[in-house]
Amino acid sequence: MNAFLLLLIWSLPLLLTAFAGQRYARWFMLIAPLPALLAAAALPVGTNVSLPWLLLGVELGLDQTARVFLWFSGLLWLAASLYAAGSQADGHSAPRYRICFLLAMAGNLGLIVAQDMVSFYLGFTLMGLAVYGLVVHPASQRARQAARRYLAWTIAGELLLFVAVVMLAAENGGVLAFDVLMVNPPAGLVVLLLVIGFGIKLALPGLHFWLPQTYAVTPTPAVAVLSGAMIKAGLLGWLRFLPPGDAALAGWGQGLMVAGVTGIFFGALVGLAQHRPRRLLGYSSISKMGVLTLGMGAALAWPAAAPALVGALAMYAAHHALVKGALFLGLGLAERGGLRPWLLAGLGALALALAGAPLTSGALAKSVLTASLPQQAHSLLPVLAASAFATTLLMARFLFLVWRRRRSIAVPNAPESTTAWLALLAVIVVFPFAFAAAGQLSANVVPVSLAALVAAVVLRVAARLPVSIGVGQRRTTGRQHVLRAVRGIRPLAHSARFVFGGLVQAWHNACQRVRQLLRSRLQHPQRADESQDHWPVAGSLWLGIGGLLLSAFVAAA
Amino acid sequence: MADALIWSVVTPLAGALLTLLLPRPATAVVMATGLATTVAAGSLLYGVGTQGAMLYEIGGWTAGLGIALRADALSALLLTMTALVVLAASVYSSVYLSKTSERTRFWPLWLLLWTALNALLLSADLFNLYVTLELMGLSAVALAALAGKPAAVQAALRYLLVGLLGSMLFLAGVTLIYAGYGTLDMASLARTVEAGPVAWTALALMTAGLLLKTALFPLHFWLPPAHASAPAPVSAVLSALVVKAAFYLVLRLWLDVFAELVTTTAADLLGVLGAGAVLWGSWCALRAERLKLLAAYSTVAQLGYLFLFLPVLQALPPGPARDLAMGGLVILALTHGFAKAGLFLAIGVVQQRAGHDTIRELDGTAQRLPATTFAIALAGVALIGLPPSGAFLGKWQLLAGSVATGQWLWLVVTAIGSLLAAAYIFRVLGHAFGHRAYPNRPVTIAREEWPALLLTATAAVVLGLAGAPVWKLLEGGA
Amino acid sequence: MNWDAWLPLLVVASSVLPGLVIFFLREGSHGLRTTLNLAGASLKLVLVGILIWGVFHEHVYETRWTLAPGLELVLQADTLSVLFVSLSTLLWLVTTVYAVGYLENSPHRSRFFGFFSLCVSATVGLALAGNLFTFVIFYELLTLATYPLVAHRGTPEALRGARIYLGYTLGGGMLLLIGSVWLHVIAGPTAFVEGGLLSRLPVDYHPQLQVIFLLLITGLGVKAALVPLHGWLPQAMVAPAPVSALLHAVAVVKAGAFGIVRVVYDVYGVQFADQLGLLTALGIAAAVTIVYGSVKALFQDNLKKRLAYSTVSQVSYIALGTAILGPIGTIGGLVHLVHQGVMKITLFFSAGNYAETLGVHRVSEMNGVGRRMPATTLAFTVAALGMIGIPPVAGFVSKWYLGLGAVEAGMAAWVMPVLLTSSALNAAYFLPVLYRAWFRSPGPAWPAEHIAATRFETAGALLWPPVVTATLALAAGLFAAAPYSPLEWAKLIAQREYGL
Repeated sequence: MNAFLLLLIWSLPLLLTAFAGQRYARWFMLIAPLPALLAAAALPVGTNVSLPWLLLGVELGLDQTARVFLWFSGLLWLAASLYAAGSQADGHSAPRYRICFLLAMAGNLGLIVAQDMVSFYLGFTLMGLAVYGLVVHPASQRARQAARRYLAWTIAGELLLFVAVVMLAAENGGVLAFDVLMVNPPAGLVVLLLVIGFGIKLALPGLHFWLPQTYAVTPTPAVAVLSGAMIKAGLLGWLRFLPPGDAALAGWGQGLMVAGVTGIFFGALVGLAQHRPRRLLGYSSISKMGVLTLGMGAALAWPAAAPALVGALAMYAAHHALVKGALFLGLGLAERGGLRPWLLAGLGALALALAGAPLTSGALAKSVLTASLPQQAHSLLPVLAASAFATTLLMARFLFLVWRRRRSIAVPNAPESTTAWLALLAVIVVFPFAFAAAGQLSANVVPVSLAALVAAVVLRVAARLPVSIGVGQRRTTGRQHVLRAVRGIRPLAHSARFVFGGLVQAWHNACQRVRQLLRSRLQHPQRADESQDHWPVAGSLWLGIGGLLLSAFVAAA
Repeated sequence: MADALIWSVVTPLAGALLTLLLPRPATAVVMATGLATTVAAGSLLYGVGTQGAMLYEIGGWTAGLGIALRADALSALLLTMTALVVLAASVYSSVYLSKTSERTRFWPLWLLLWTALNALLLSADLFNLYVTLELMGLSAVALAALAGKPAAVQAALRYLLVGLLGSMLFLAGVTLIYAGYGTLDMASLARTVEAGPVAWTALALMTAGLLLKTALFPLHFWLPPAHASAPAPVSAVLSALVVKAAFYLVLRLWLDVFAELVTTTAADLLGVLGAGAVLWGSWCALRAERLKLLAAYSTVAQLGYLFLFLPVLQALPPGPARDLAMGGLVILALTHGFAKAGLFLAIGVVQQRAGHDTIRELDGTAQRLPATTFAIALAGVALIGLPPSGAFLGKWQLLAGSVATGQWLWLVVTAIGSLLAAAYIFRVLGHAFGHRAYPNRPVTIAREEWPALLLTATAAVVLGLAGAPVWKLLEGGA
Repeated sequence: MNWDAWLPLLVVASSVLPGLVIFFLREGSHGLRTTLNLAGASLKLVLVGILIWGVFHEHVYETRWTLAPGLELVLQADTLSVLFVSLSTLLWLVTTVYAVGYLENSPHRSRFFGFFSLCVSATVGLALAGNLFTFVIFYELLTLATYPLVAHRGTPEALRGARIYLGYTLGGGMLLLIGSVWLHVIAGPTAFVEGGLLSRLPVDYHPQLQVIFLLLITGLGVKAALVPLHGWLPQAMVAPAPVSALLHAVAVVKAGAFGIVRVVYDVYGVQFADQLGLLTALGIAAAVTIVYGSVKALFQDNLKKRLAYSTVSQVSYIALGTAILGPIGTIGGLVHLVHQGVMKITLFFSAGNYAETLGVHRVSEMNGVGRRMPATTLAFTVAALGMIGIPPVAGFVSKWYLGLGAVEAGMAAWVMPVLLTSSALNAAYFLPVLYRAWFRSPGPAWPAEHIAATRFETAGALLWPPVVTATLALAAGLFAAAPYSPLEWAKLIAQREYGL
């Protein structure tokens, strides 16, 4: 029974794709995430199922981390499905959209319960590719470009991961289960490949170029799960493949921490300069993923603190996922149906939660994280505080942008969408109080209030200034660089072609001449034969042969 | 069993006389004769297979005084091939030659040619060989000129002159031998002949004469016009049997009678000429405009392959490797015989149906005669040397022999020759594919198309798959 | 009656005899022709099933026939031949159904199906060949049987394509023949024995053996489309779609690759070949082909030409697997033989469906075709994803084993980049096609809509084959670790080859 439930988590969305074209498909999609939630609630930790005949041998299981991931992913997918039930029009491209949605869900949920390398890779790949269908759905030029960029980065990451997984399998004699990595952790090139491969998913600075534009164009329900649940797959990948708890990866841990810090501030700074709320939220994600990277680095650098840190990371991931997802859903509501007061209030609450204001899930997550940091890592505390500061500013700008872009009611939102968002909001507001111990909810008081003050000042001032900055808006930098490089080589190419072309031409002329020569001789061979008809020719030939024969006999004697 | 020897010669001769005397039931007579001779040939083959070489002395006179007929494995095999080919061609001719007047002149000459062929294959002494060679040449010329058209007569005349030159040289050689050794019996000559100016000159003369008759490059110029203007069944027999008989004589002289005289240089010379034949003949076939010319040049090329065997055989010491090569030679010769005969018969059908045999304008005809086109395809397979034809086995042995003796030139020549052959065969077959649909009636006139089909099928499939007994025969019956 | 001696011959005969009969049928006897075809295919399938069972239990099935002293025609069933025979048989059945639907109302069907059957007979004979001599015979027969299929339409382009095809394959056959004769002269009759017999020859022969290997591989490489011997393949695309499907998935290209596998494993022996430095040469040739084929495919607008270059690239994976020393690499190459066959045939079936139903020949005309023909495009998608190497389609399993084998053999430094580049290039030329098919709207009208959209998107005989083969491709990947999968069979072959 338990095994069956584990299978159902990813197989139910797959099966439902067959019904994507049916009339009530939008409602069918709601049952897809339910097995995941059920499993998270009911299955005991340590449930395992082994399917040696599937693919290259599949192991599924539920451990503590997986449970947390299942919780927030399941909830987010459910909310997004409900939202989509309301917002998705029933056009001819709707089945396609639903199929991609379900496939991404299957991949996402599948990789969470995967306990061996290949099935994790399978879920990861499936998820990555299915998202393409969601990103390109709007069928605009911008969507196509963003989708193409997304796909290129994703495939690059997947290829690197393929190499890493193969090398890991080779090192461990073909055994694919994650347990073996605890005994024989990866080293050297493999770790680099894993960091980069999953880092692309997590949008580490330098590997993040696909993210802002993708978030800008993807339809609302999809971007909610993309930013909330799917981006966390990168973290889960690291947790699975680079098991914290071994001293061997300490050096990499330091590196990851540096990357994390870079990400935090990079995301925040560039995010502040955005004009569009979605892109801002994208950069905010980059910043928050920096926090997770920082935590991961700490777990690797200080193995003793690893178990606690891993739990904290999972909690932080859950918080971020739900809040970011809700932010996007709310943004979607606002874009569609106008900025109602309750909507603004909800968005404000979410903004506070993301920033980590006291009494929110953010505060809970932050406290748990700081609590799990070991003694040596106390230098990181100011960083986290600064992160809270920066995020608050960022959220302030977000609210400002949302307010500024509000329009009069165009299309009323579907009740399902609104319900979904409200439900999610409720969960986010309530769960800190359910889980928190005393004192955990009062973190971040100083940074947040400070930032709020700064934000207020800036808003007053900025209202008077007409200047606007656009950072991070360049879309085609990469391509322009390449073009410039190519243009430089052009003169060189010209001279090469001149020389080479001359040689080729000479060769052609020579061949032509030889061909003409042969042709005249061989075209009509019968004429050659007919010339033999002249008896003198024939006779002399014959005499010649006879003589040769005779001498052949004589000579050998 | 030894009677089969004399029957093989007497039956067609009797048939020839009968058809001369009884022109009305000529076809029936021919068929009966054909069957009888084939049976005789078959029993001869069986006899050689079970008992080894057979000897028949006519009139009881022993060798040296009288005419003896001898059959060993080689001659038995060639005799059977001759019988089958001529039988098939006879069936074909009974329909092909529509005019009665043509037929009355045709049958006697036809059967006379057959007699000559059989006698040549069975002769045991040199003078007899000369007689049969001359007879064969004259009847062949007459048959070739039968059509009466100026081109045919001119070609036949040229053939006659060349043939006479060849046989005169042969006679000169025979005379020298008689003067030198006092006997003409091949078996005793094989024992007594030794290297010396007499033997050398004789062999050189005889070989040169035979080379003219077997149309080895560069003395091949008479063959294409002659074979191309003759009626189809005649061309079939000329290409398949007559030139091969001359080659058979070369083999007999070089491998049996004068084996001691043959030097590596001499063998290499013939090999080089053979290589030239392969390359030149294949190239001319590729450029040929008419089907019959193509087939004729193909004969020139295929004979070249047979000559390529000579240096290989010379270089291999007696033993299993040499036997393998010998068997390859024989099976190649047999396959070519069947294939070329079938090819000419098929071309004859095409020519009759279309009124011409220009390759470029073949399209409709090729598609309307599926069975004939298939026969041409099968013949092509055998001529190129693709499996499962007997020629594949023969070429394999040729290649193996050249590798084993380190004579790489023959290998290269064979490879190029085969590819050229493929080119000219598939050039023709390309015309069998067109877009228009024709009703699928495989065979239109049975008596014309089946012989061609059967002959080429033998070459392309039967000899390849059931060819192993050839080696056994040669081993046992030599 | 000694069935063990007759069974291989019967497997070959089960398609020769129907073929010969079909030649004589009238054009109109559609039912009889189809019945004969399907009966032959089904019978063959049954016989092959018996073979599989027997070989698994280490039965010996062998037919021998002497053609000349020292030259025996040997048909034998061992693990490797059974792999190829079962692939051929299964795909022949599917292709026959497809061809019946595709060639409806076109002329010369009897001739087509006759040569079709002969082509499969030649392939099966080649698969069951027990020595190099027999292999060469069936290799040439395959050329003969496929020429009429390529030239079938009779148009000048078809004849030209067929001529080019013939030129290349006969040339290759000649090189193969010379190599085989040479080998026969120095080493006697070369029977296919696991591990090869040539290592017993004295050292003086080694230079000759290297040259012979070069000749053999060049001869086989023509059919296996190794660069630069691949020129015939894009030209042969003029053939009707069932022929392209058969040629590129099952018969000709696989025959060349299969031959390479045979020569390396069962004539030379993989350890000996490595000793002589031959595996490195083969690996380089394979790597160059893989990358070159993928690059050329990027620039093709004609769908079939794109798939042709993709074949050039993908079949060299088999050669690459052969060049990687060690059982894992071997498994990768062998299992790709099956996987690539099934995936490629799906792609060609789909391409044929587009051409036949909508007149779509070019990628640029494929906008929105997914809406009009969803099942076909779904099959195409599954196969394309497999080509790129995305789990769980079968192509992923092959790439996995190739990568794993390379790492274990210490060759990962150059094999991995080749695999990665190839996957990336595959994605670059397949994904845009999928994008056009699924995510774009169709134009005002299709180039030439021959079959109107009824309840099904196209004729049944055209629709079911790609669906079936796509399902097989998916199943081969999903159930790769299950018993009786192609992967398990490849493992068995590797076991017996390396003597594990």
